[in-house]
Amino acid sequence: MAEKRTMTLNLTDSEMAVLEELAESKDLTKTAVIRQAIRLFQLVEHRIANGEKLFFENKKKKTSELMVL
Amino acid sequence: MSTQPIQIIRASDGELVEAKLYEGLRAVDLTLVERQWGSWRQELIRKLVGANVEQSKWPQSLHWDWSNKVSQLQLLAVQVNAIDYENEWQAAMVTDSITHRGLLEIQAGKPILYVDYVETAPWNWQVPEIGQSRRYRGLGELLMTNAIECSFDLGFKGRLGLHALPQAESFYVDRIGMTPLGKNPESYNLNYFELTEAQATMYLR
Repeated sequence: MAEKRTMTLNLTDSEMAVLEELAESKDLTKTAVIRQAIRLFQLVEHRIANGEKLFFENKKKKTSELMVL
Repeated sequence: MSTQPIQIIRASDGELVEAKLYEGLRAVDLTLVERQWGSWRQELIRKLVGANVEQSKWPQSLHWDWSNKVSQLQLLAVQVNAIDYENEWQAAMVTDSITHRGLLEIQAGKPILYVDYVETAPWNWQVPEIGQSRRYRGLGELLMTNAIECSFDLGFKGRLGLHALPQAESFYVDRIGMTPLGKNPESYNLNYFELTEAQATMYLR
């Protein structure tokens, strides 16, 4: 496995609350949630940089584009 | 790219030999995998055709092309791990850690490590129709062990998912202990399998 580095992460109470909620619901540690977030962010950025768009579709098959800044 | 020693079994005499497990192959490595395997695939096809073997009995990954995966290697979510012995790639695996979630009730919605491709080198296939015996064996188990370890490292607790070619289904159920969830029409109608935390722990014992 690749070697890992340690960092300190400063979060607001509400950010920490969301992180804890995600960790609980996804059965992950908080570190694992952050690592997944980095992977997802990179994937989205990579595909948008290649000219693709990100859409969400609701149950009625209506799509909306998510603008990632 | 990181590397660690790993033992593989020489099929001719059952002896263990010291190979290397590489994690995080680069584009140049993956190109070499296809260069080494591609010519062997072509030779296998020639022999299968020459022996009039029905296509339904051909190895089902015969058409795979590992160089197609090169463009995804820049993503953290996609990783290629492979086993090398004497400068030949003996087996390789592509995993994706972001695009799949568990479907089994016990892990529904939770992240899983998806095994996108796993294959042994064509010279490690047992193809009795043309008299080919494999050179090394146990490679699939070693890569699945590695996938489970990667899942634990990511914090996924050993959870895995994959779609299997029909010829490999019994391997995933009987040898790895995965649970079949039925055919997926969105993935070439292949059967989909998952491994739970409990199954992963059991497999590693």
